[in-house]
Amino acid sequence: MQCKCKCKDKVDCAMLLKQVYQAGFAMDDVVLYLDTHPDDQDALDYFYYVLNMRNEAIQVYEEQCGPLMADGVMAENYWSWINDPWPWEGECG
Amino acid sequence: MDCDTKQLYPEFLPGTGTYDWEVVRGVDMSASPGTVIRPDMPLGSGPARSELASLASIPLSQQEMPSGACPWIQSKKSGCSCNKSGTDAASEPPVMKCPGMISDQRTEKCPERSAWQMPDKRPERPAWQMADRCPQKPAPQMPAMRPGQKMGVSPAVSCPSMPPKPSQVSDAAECIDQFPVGMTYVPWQVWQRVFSVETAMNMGTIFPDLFKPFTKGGCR
Repeated sequence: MQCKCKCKDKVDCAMLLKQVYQAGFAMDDVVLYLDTHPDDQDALDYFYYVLNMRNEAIQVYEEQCGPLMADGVMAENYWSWINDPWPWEGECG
Repeated sequence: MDCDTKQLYPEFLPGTGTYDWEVVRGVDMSASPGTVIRPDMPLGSGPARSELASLASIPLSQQEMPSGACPWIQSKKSGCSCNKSGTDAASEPPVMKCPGMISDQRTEKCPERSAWQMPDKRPERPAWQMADRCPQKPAPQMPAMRPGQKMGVSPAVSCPSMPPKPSQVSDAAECIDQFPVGMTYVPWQVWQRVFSVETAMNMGTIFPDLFKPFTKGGCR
């Protein structure tokens, strides 16, 4: 089956996606900490640090590998969301 | 059941297993399994209520109040008695002294109450008091809530500084005996150096203190 993925380099996309996961996991964990420590400045600084890291990772991924979510579609005249394989196709990670 | 308890629960008169209404009616219900509903009795006057409680439905003027005595205690069944301190019990309320109790704490005057009135309040005894087990230890100081702190989260207590250093762990363990029972306590987490995002993903946490993998033979 021919892969419909427009990824230039599947390995890079997997690596970029992993960076998104890593930054997102750290953000989720510090959110749990902030729920009980809302006035911890160190935790707040770390939250914004990993938030920016996650946003940058998402931006880089979407620029090279396509949208991660529907609101990340960048094409103006084409719905690029369908370029990536569907979950049941088992392609591209 | 001590005298104090009888004052708090005047309707419960143990000893013979027979309630007053049974004696009045000539019925021996000592072997009764418990509360029953008798068709020949109006609702609300069953065995769960004592004769004294049923007096509430009788106008006050028609009741025979035991003058000078604690009206809610029947001396024939109670373990303590109200010793009249004067000849005229109506003018001067008697002083109740319960045997086996500390006189300076438990001596009280019998207030003038109606038979159907319960005592206003129970003896003030903090729920966390552990005088029997640890009489030498002071009462624990409940930790103050921090701004924005949610309920159910235990902040740092006054005993050890948090987080406890290895040398302070034993102090925290000793202090736990002074906390209220039936509760769970979690040490207050403080910010620390965190794993890198790459490492945290593999460790399952960004906090090294929370990295406790389950290994064979116990948790590390």
